[in-house]
Amino acid sequence: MIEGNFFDGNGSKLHLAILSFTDSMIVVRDAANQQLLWQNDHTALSINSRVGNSVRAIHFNDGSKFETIENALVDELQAQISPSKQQWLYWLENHYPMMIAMLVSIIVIVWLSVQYGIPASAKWAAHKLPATLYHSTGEKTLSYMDEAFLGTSLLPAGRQQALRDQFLVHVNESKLSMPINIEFRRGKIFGANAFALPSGTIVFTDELINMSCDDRELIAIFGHELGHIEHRHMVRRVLQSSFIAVAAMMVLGDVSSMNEILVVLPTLLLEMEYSRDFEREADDYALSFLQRADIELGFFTSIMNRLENSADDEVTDIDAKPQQQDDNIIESYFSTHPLTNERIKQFGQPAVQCVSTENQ
Amino acid sequence: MNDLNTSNNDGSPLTPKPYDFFFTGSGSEYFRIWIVNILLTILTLGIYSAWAKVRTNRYFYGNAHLAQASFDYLASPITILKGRLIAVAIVIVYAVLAKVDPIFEVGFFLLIIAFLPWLIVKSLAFNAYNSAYRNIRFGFTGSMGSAFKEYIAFPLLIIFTLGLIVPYVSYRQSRFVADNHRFGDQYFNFNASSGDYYKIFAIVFAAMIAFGVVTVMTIGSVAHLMEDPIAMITAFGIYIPFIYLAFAVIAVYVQVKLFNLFFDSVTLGEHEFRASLTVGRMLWLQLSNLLAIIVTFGLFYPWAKVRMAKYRLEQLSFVAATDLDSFTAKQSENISAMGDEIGEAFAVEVGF
Repeated sequence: MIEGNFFDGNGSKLHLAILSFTDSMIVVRDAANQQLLWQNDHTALSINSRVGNSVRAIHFNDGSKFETIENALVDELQAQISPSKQQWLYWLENHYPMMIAMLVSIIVIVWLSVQYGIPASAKWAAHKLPATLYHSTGEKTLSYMDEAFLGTSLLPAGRQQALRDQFLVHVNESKLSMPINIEFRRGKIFGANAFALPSGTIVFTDELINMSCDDRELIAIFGHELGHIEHRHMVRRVLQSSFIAVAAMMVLGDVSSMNEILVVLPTLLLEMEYSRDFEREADDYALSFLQRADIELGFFTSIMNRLENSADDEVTDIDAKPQQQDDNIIESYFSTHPLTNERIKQFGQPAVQCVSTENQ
Repeated sequence: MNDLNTSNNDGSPLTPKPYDFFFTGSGSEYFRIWIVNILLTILTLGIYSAWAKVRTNRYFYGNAHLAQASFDYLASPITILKGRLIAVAIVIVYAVLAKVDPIFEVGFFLLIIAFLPWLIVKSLAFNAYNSAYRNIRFGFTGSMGSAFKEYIAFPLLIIFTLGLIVPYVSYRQSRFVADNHRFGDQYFNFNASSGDYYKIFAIVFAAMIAFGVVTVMTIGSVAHLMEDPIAMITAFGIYIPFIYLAFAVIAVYVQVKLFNLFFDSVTLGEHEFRASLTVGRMLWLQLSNLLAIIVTFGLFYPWAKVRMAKYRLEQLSFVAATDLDSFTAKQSENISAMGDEIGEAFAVEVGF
């Protein structure tokens, strides 16, 4: 016998009712006057799975419904007429050792996916994407940036060609995954900068060329940007952002009512962490590139130092993202690039001293 | 506020009887449901999220009580899953296209704007149709045309009127949501006037002006006193948290006053609602929830959700003119499910 409410589904009248089950028959009677409200066998009803101690509904096939807070009694009824499909959920939710195991699992799984799963799958997918997609993506981005931000380079054509030749002489183009195309632009708001596009195009700004005091510094930057292209960083970044967005939407589907910042901030921090990983990977590439080309590693360090010093008064950076360079732990979490000091340590060589005052 | 309609059609001596909503869920119980939901969602690569949503809603509906009966959430997980898969596909296409060429971002934005009325109507219809009380479903029957008017056309006019019609737009949206909802075959009625909305926003406007004046005066006086740029910057740094707090107070004020006004103005036949949220209590709840969620790295979220649901529900009451037994279900409910689940997946937050 289970006490509860009965509703016929046509009207909102509440019948205080008693549900009883004998043999294979389920009978619902009005608690006050014993009037028969519903009667049938157990195939004519469906019992909602238990969710905590919230009110439990039993829906009958004629549209009527019985609801009760006597969850334990409904569990007994359910055990008798049909072993539930979802009763294990309630079991999971009510065993504390399970609870701790699940909490730990969630933390471990999230950590593993963030650390390895998402980067690895993005890397795998990036190498599967067709070359035509890379090409059109890069071309479109460049023409968009030309329209919106960049200006035509003021460098003489001869100087541009000389630089191209200097860069490419160190590269065995047949071993690269895609042909390299080197472009020069006036950076304007980007200032001294260089960036790589998925299509294999590397863009140097006039400001960066003028800031360097030795072309070998530019070759070092070229090596870094080539690393971005060979590792397909741009496309991997897009894929990773999409993965994070989809994952957050799935797991936190019901967060919409909470403060958005609780979702946005961790996502942002994560994307910055990934971005720094890419920069380190590109730095590694530049390092071995310079070694193969037999160029002193100090040239990379020296141009990085100069970029850092100029970053104080204008937005300057390798890869078109604002960055602050400061030897500060907190800051490293809010930066898209590794701290310059950390970068310079990686190259293990002091900056090459070169005398140049032009354009400082 | 409206006069209490104390006399019934037949002049019977029944006086309106207030019923309080109450909520019996607990944070620790929901925490356990939440953990299982998250784990299964992760293990199934998101597929389970539809079941998680149903389970969560069933927990919150099943713990919401009014006049001896409780609420019921009836949506099928499969329907929600279908909608979510479509939504995820759209988001992936968008994310990729937007980075391939920023022009797509603009195009997609315009597309969403064009579909917004449809999404709003479908989302409201889905949630209403799948909510029931005393075995009677709710319903929503707003038209796309009206939704376009209330959520696109009128908001566009805000720019041209320098924001003067913001309260009016807010009023019209609330009216659209309330008037098109029904319980069984009984439609809700919205009886507020746009003047009520102007009053709330006028206070907000005055508060913002006052705060602006105080800010300028404080900073000005401190700077004048010290005549030292460093000290002035420091003073401003100390002042920044107060600015955030002021905006939080204003945001909560609007939220609370609009919630109260909405329910105080809605009638269902001869029945009325009363809402009595207070700004202080709501501010305390939201700030303490936010802080606790940050400190616990998110683990406090279930308690936060329960606290909020409990407070909002328990400050609400239903004033029944007679009794609650005389509502009838809408016969031959002919809901076209097409697209409702997509509306659900994008979870357009509409309302008061």
